[in-house]
Amino acid sequence: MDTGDLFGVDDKPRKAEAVLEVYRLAAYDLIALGDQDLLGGEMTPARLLGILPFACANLTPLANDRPPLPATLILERGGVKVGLAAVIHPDCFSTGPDPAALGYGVSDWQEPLREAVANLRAAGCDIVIVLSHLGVPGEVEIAQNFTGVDLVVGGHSGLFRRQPELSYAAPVVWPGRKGRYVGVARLSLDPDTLGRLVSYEAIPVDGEVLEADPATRAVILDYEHERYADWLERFYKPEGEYAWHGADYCGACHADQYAQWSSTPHARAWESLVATGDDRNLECIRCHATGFGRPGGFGSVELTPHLTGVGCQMCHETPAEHPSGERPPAVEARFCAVCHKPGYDDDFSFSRDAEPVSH
Amino acid sequence: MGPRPLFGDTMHKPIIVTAALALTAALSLVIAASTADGPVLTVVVTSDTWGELATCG
Repeated sequence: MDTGDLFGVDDKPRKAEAVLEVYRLAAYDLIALGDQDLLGGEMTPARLLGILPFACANLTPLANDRPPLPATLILERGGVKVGLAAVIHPDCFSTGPDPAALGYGVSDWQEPLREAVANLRAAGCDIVIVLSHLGVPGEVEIAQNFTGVDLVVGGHSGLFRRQPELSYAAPVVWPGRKGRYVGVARLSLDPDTLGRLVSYEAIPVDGEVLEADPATRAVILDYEHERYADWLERFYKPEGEYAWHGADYCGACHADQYAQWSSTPHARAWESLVATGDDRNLECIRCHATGFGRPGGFGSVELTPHLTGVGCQMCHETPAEHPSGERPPAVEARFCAVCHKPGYDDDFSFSRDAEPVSH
Repeated sequence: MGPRPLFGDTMHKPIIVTAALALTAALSLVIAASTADGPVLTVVVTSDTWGELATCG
C-alpha cells in the first residue's frame, strides 16, 4: 500500500501513465490520494480509480453525488479482516490544484476519519490501518487521539524514519520519499495481541535485494524511448559555436593522456549505459556522453558516435582557440561535481577519486 | 549513505526504478503462516514516490 503522491510536481500525463502502470504491475492493494496525484488538474479521481485502488475519506462531491473515491477498503487475508482508511489534509491543496474547480471538495479530515475507522470496526475488521496524506502533525494526532487504529502510515511530508514511532497510543511509520525504501510492518495475529506492531523494517530498494521485473522494465523503457525521441526532434541542435570533439581527436596530440584515459571508467561510460538499457534515458545520458544537451554535442549514438563516453571536454574546459591559443584550465572539483553528486555518487571524494583518472 | 544503486555501479540514483517489483507478491498484503513472533500480518508500505517509482530521476 502507499500513502500517495505517486507523481512528481512537474510530471506530465505521459509519465503519469507509466507510473500508474508500474504501480498496477506491483499489485498495490490500496493507495491514499495525494495532492500531486491530481497532476495539477490534469488527472481526476475517477481516472485514478479506474486504474488503481485509490481511497480518500474526506474528498467530497460538490453536489449530491457519490463520493469521488471510497473512504475505506476491507481486505480478507487468511481469515483475517484488515480495514484500511485513507485521508488527506485540505492544506495540501493550498498551492493548487483547486479541488472545487475540478468538481469536488476536501473537508476537514478528523470526523470523516473517525467515521471511517468506526465503520471498519463495525464491519468486523480485526486490524485497522490508516494511510495518511496529512503530514507529520496529523499523523501524530491520529496516533495520540484516535481509537481503534492499529497502525498509521505517514505520507505527504516525505519523512523517512528507519524505526517506528512508538510514543503514542498507535504506532506510526514513515517509509520516506522517492521509493528509496519500502517499509515492512508485521502486525500480530495472535488473539491475545491482535494488531500489535511486532516489527518494522525499512528495506532499501536496490539491485542487492531485487531483480528487475521484465514487465515493469518494459513500461519504463517505452516511456524513456518516447521521451528521448521527442527530445531529439524538438531540442537537439547538431551544430553550435563551440566544437565538441571525440577523445580520438584530442589523442592525436595528447597520446599519453589518451592512453591513460582509455583505461578509465570515463572511456567506458557509454558501454555501461548500454549494458543497463539506459542509453535512451535522458537523465542518464548527460553523464555518459560528451556535450549532451549542448549545441553540437552528443545527440545519439547514430548521429554522433564519436561523442559517446565521458570525453576530454567533459573535464577540461577547452577554450575555443585551443590548440592554437589558450590552454585549458586545470581540472577543479566543481567540474566533477556536475555528475559525481549526492544522489548519484554519494561517496565521491575529489582528493581521492580524481587521482585514478588524472593524467 | 543511502542504499546501493539498482544497477550495480556507483553512478546511479538509488531509486526504486524497475526495482521492482519483481517481488510483486511482496507488495501486497500477505499472511505469514508463522514466524518467530507467531502468526503475523505483513504489510508493505511506500510513500511519496514522487514520480521516481518508474523513472531514473
